[in-house]
Amino acid sequence: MRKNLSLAIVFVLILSLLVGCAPSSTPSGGDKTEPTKAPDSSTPTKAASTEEAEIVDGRFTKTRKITVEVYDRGNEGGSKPEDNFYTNFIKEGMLRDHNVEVTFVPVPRWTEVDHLNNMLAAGEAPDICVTYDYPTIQTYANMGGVIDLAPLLEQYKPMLQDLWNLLGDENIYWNRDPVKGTVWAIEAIRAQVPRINTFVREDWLKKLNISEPTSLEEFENMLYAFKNNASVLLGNDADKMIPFSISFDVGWRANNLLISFVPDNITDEEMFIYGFDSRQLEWPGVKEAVRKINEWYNNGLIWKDFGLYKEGDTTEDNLIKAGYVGSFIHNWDYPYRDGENGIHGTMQRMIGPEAAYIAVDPFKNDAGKYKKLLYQRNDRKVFFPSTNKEPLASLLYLNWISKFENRKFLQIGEEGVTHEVMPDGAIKIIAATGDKIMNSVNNIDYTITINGLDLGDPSLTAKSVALGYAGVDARFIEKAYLVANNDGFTVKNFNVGEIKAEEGMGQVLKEKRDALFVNAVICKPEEFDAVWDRYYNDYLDSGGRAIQEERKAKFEQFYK
Amino acid sequence: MVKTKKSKIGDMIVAFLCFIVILLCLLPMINVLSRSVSSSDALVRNEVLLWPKGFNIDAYKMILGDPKYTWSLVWTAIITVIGTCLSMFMTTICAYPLIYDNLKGKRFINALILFTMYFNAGTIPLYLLLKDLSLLNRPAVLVIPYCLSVFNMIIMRSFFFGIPDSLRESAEIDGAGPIRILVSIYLPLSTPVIATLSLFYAVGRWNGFSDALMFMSNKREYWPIQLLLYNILNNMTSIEVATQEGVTKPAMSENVKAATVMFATVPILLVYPWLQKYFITGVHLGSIKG
Repeated sequence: MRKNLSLAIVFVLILSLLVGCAPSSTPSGGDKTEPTKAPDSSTPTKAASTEEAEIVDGRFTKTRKITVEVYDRGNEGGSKPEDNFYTNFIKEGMLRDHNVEVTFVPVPRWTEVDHLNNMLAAGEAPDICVTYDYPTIQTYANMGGVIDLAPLLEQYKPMLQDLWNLLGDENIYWNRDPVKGTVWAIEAIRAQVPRINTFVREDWLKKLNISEPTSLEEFENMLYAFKNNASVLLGNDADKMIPFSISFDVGWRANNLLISFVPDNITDEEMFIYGFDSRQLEWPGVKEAVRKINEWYNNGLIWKDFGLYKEGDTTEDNLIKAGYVGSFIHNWDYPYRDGENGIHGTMQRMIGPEAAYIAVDPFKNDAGKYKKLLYQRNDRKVFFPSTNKEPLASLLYLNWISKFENRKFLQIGEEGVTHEVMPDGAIKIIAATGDKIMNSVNNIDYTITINGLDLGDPSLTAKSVALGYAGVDARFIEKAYLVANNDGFTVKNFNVGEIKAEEGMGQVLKEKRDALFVNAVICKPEEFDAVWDRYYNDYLDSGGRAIQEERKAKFEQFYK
Repeated sequence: MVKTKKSKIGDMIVAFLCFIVILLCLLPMINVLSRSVSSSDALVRNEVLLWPKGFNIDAYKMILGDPKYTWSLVWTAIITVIGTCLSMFMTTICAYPLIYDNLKGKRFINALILFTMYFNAGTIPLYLLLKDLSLLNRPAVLVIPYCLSVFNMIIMRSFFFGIPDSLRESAEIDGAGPIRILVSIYLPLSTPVIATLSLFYAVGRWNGFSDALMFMSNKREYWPIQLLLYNILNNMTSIEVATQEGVTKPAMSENVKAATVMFATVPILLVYPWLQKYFITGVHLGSIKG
């Protein structure tokens, strides 16, 4: 009896296991049936003639319906991202110009990838999806869950001129598979590419009568001067002096210094092969740059506790705001952000109107150039899941949103409400409340094909960008913008298709890289080489080497 | 009873250890409380540890003046109360039959229930299930899916086991049915476990945000307070997003941040002293003669 019972239990457990598995395999299985029916590329071509017949002067004869993903930031005082002044502007425009009814689907910004995964698996993702995470798209594309845009783009190109004018072939075909020619997603464009700047306290330079450093040596001397004159600069708080501040993310927070140690003759090929890490860890010369930081650390020029505070912690920001920090490297406009609660705003309030950081350009490479890496000109990735039954209407949406007048309105809003026009024509964004509030800077959540202000005229755009920082003298921004772009370069985009070794390695290698940098900075100078080699080999053994090798092989396959 | 010197020293050591643990729990709370009523300049200078500096309650004024916070707090309270009541009901009616020896297939049912404690299907299948049940983006999704915790049910069942069978048998002799026995004998004797489990459920509901994050994404008006805070804090501190997008949104001052944390924590803390009086075990001792 007992034996029978336990047998029955085992049987039922196995059964329930199988039943339990069934629904989880449906999404991929369900999607898998669709690519045989599609990859949707054949369907639109067949349907093309009928489709085109239904479209007169860019308008569908029958109303089409599409859904569009929009990030939900849950921001303080924000409006509903799926229903507000700007969504109405888009909805009305799309209905007027193309007879397409648009519905927005909010997706939480901070967990967009998880949400997108859920919705794609459930087969209810919006017709137009947006994400920063290309691997997610690739995963679903491999399962047949994403529409190949290549044939559609080719076929409808004449109707998509605004999209082409904005993105160009480069961004549209950024992700084209070098073998199969598939395009799973197009890349939005990043209008502002400055990336990282070096900042020093302008008032300290004046107090100590030092001119802005223009070389590593001068920069170093400046740091020692800050340290040796702590009591002059900070009075009673002299013991809190931090000549140079970094965080656990050394690769980012010393990036301009790292790049200046990279030989000028580094080739595009090398940059690509050793270019997996977003902080350029694998590039030649970086080790020597970190040795320099290690020297500073051991000579007491760097905040001792930097490695203890992880991402999102505000301790370091507060040290900067309180005025204890002489210099640091960060995002090109970092100290000027966030209005009165930001670094500049807080220092002006707590220390005085003279307290300010200014961008400087001290790090020259071996060819005497102030090289610094810029952002690549791509941004979010836009794709259509295979549940999208209106690919043409969706493409027309992307075209509409890329049209200059439309995106300009979305970026700057109404005059007198969200912006004012300066005498020289520059646009100054002002904070709005209520329905016309912009939930994201320049409404990037709606202008899904462009990130960053673009007013058509570059100098006007630059002037307007400089006005975009509440309470900050425009001269600081202009200088920062100039310096950040000075001798700037980007890594060339080599399209070699999917690199299998990179799959799922991002987080692991990121942590290894940060551990490497932090430990190499805080070790004793005589142990530096041993520490670096140990951690670097660990990084390579954990997947870094496989990535390099695959990148090398792919590069040779397609570009040699 | 006279205590020996040895046991007195033992008591003191225990008391001392308890004191340390209490301190470890309390100090961070005091720190956040002090931060929430300090001036933001003092916070930036890192001058506030346990005593507020530049005392002001502007941060609280700001939060209480924002209907988004207050509604979210009320809504969270509503789902906490409903969720806890429902969970206790489900837990009780699940645990109670399992103490009867003459329940047919008891071992089998137990095995099935236990199975769900160790294995689950994962987020995406759950998402699909809730979608097919039309629960997505409906208030009920915050209450129903997690209304029974197997672990808590087992605690309850074990407690029921601890109640002597003879009490039940005597009630049966007096003609009481199972439901009557549950209501009149078992529940009154189980206040400690009911209080404990209610607290588990209530705290879990109050602090829960991942279910709302996944299943309630489109309806902001039904966001519980923790999800609201999660979004607000992320909005300001996510470096990942800042590097991706190259921009950030205005920061919130430090004291407001601390105040929102207090705001979300204090209400659930108030539940503890109220439940305290039920944490008295041994109620049924002496109800039968040994």
